[in-house]
Amino acid sequence: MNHGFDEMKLSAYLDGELDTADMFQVEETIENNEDAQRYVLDAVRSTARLRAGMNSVLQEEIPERLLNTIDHSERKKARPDLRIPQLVRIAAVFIMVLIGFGTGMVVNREVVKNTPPLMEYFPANFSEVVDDTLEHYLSGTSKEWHSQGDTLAVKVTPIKTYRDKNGVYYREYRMEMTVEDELRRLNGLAYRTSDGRWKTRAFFFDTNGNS
Amino acid sequence: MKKKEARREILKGELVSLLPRLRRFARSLARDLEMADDLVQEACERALGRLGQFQEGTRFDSWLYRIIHTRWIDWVRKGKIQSDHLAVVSSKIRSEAAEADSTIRLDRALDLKRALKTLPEEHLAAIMLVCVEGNSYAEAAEIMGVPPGTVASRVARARTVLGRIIFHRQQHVQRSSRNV
Repeated sequence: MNHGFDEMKLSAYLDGELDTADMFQVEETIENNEDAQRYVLDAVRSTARLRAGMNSVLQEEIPERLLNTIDHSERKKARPDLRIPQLVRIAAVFIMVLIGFGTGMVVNREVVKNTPPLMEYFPANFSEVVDDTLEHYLSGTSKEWHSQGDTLAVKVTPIKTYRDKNGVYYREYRMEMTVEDELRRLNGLAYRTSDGRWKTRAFFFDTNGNS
Repeated sequence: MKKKEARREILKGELVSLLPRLRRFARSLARDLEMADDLVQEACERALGRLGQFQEGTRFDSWLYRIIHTRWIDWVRKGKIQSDHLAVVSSKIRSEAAEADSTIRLDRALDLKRALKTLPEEHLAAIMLVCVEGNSYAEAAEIMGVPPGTVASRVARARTVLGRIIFHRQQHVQRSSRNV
């Protein structure tokens, strides 16, 4: 929408791409046009946000395979490929759940006795459902997933977001599973890894019926 | 022969030092962590096989960006690029989360992600090359194989979209919270 100024000229002005005459003209426009002022402010802020968002890549460790591609012979020790196949990650979550459950890794909640093993209720792509929800959904909004045949329904709702003293993001979330018409609730605590994935650290049941 | 080998070693060293920036650019195109590194790896292989074609006195990084962009276009044509997942979260925004309203800060990072997913890849590539990688319109045009005017147009449109999605949504949230 045209608000009395040329967006492309304003954009080029911000990039230092205008000649002197156009530059003076644009500066006069900015001085007299509130919409142009708002455009410039939004453009500067959004560009800064983009730069900040993409700059995190610069801090990452360079994958070994890229270094090996450039000069394989100069590398003295090669670290193993740390990419974890999807099934192994899911299995690791199940194992972590069992360990956590077995050692009573429960936060301010009671351990429910005679609770059936959790793993039989988890969908095969459980980690993907949680990962997607924690990455894209705001606190208080939910993602739902249904198995084929609707025998299992899962609803994941992020509850709280914070950072620990090391700067790692954590999100507490609530998961409601309906298995054969029976509703089960549990809360999870996940942290965000450096490659943008969420890993659940602990589970706990809410025996007070609060969710 | 020794001079040629020495030149090759110098360029290889420069290539290593450019890897973080090349990965940043590739990630904006491929929008997938592994695929972006695949793109950089393939570009490195091509560059190393064609070092004799690099002209002394020209920008080595621009030459590499061009290779990455050309490979990416080839991948898109072949249907290799499918994922639209962008896993980058602003580290600067993360640093703001020390405040009490940390949820809002994280939500801002998610706003950026949503905005970037909305941008067409060529518009994102243009604004990345100019505003993040620091190229002029002429340099970005050379990398993308389009006229400078096209670069200018894409950058302007990308700015408009980013500003509208990120800040229009925040204004909406602020208005909503005031109404509670």
